[in-house]
Amino acid sequence: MAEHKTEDHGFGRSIRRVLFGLTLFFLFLFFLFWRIDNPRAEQMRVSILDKAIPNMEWAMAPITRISRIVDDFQSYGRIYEQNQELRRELQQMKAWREAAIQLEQEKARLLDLNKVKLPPKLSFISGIVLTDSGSPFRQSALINLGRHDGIVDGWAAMDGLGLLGRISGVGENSSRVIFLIDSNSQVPVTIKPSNQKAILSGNNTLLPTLDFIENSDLIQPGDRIVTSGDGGVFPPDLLVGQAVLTSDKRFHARLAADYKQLEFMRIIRYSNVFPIADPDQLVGPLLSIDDPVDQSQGADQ
Amino acid sequence: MKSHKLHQTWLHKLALVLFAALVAFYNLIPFTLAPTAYPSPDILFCVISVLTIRRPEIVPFWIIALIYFGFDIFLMKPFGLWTACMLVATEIMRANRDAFRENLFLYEWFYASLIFFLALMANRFLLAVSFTPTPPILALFWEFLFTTLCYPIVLFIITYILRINKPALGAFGYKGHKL
Repeated sequence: MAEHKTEDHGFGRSIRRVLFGLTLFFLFLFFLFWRIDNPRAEQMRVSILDKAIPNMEWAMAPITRISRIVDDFQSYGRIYEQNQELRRELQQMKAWREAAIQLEQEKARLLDLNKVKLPPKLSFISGIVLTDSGSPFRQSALINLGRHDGIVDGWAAMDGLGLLGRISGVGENSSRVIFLIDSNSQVPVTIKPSNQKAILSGNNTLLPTLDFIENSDLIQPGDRIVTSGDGGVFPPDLLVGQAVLTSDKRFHARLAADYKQLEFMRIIRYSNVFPIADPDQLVGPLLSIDDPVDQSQGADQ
Repeated sequence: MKSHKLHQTWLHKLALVLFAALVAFYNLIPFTLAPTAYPSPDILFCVISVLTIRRPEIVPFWIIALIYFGFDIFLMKPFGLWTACMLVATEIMRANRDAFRENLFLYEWFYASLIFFLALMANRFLLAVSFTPTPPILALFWEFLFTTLCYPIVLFIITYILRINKPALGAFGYKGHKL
C-alpha cells in the first residue's frame, strides 16, 4: 500500500505526466501517419474492422431486422394508396417493357448488319450491408464480401438499378463501399441525350452536384446521367440518375439508387482497374500500353 | 473495505468501456444509409466529463484514450486526432475539478460546453491545417448544440439514478489520500 500513498504526489505524478505526454505524442504521430500514408492507414483500419465486424453480425442482424420491421409497420397505414400507385406504375412499366423489347430487337438487327463487336456483359456478385459508416460526415458501408470472394479495390457497387459507389478498402471477409454521396467521391459522368461530360461530386446529401459541365445550356432537368468510363475506374454506361436543377441554379443528380432501403448491393466485376497502392500515384488510364509495369514504376520515382 | 472500493472502481471502468462499445455499436447499425441531416450528440463526452469532474479515478486518461481511439478506428475518423482533442479537454477539466466542487450546475454546464466547443474547433483547425476535407460548419454547430442539450440529462442520470456523486469537501479516497 506504500506505493499507493505516494501515487498522487511527486514521483507518481511526474510519471503520469510523462505517460500522458507520450500518449498525446503517439496520437499525433498516428494522425500524421494517417494523413501522409493514407492508403496504408485505411488498409490497417479495414483489416481491424475485418476481424471485428463479422463477429458482431449475430448481434447486429436482429436489431437491423427489428428496425426494418418497425419501419414496415409504419408504412401499413398507407398500404392502400401504395397498392393503387404500384398498379398504375406497373401498367406504365408494361408499356415500357413492350417498347424496350421492340427496340432491343431492332438494335440487334442493326448491330448484325454492322458487325459491331460489343463489350462482354458485366457480371456481378451480391453482398449484404453489415454496417454503415457510423458518422454523419462519412457516407459509406461495410459489406460481407472481401478478398476471399475475389473483390478488388475500385469495383463499382450498384443496387438493382443505379450506381451506389465503389469499393475502397478490401479485407479478408468484408470490404468498404464509398458512396457517390460521400464528400470525397468524384465520378466522371456523361449526361445522356447531349453527351455532355461532367464530374459528379458528393456533398453528403442525396443530391450530389454536377461540376465542370462543358455547356450547361444543352442540359435539361430530367436528362439521364450515366458513368462515362473515363479514368478507367467504372465501366461506361452504368445508370447514375437524373439531372435536376435546384434553386441555386446548379445542376445536381437525383440518384437512381435507393439509399434509404439498402440491404443488398451488387458488386460489378470489372478488371480494368488500376489499384491505389501508394499515396503518390496517379489514378487513371495507363499512359503506355506497351509496358504498363514500367510506367507505374516510373510514377513511383 | 478498501478492496471493496477498489473492485467497485474497476467495475465502474468496465461499465464505462461497455457503454462506449454500445454507443459505437449503435452508431454502426445500418438503420438507413441515406445521409442524416443532423448528427447525433456526443453522449460519451457528456458521460466522461461528468465522471471526470465527480470521480476522476473511474476515468484515467488511458481509458479515455483507449475508448476514443477505438471510436476513431470504427467510426471512420482520422486516426488519433479527435482522441488527442478529447484527452486535452478532459485533462483541463481534471486539473480544474476543484472549482466545480462547490460551484453550481449552471457553471459546470457552461464550462463543459465551452470545452467541447473548443475541442471541436481545435479538431477542425488541425484538419484544415493538414489539408483534410472538413465536415461542414453547420453540422458541427448541430453536434455542439445537441451535446450541450444532452449534458443535463446525462448529469441527472448519473447523479440521481446511478448515484455517483461529487465527493464531499474534505473527504478521503479508498487509498487514504485527500480527494
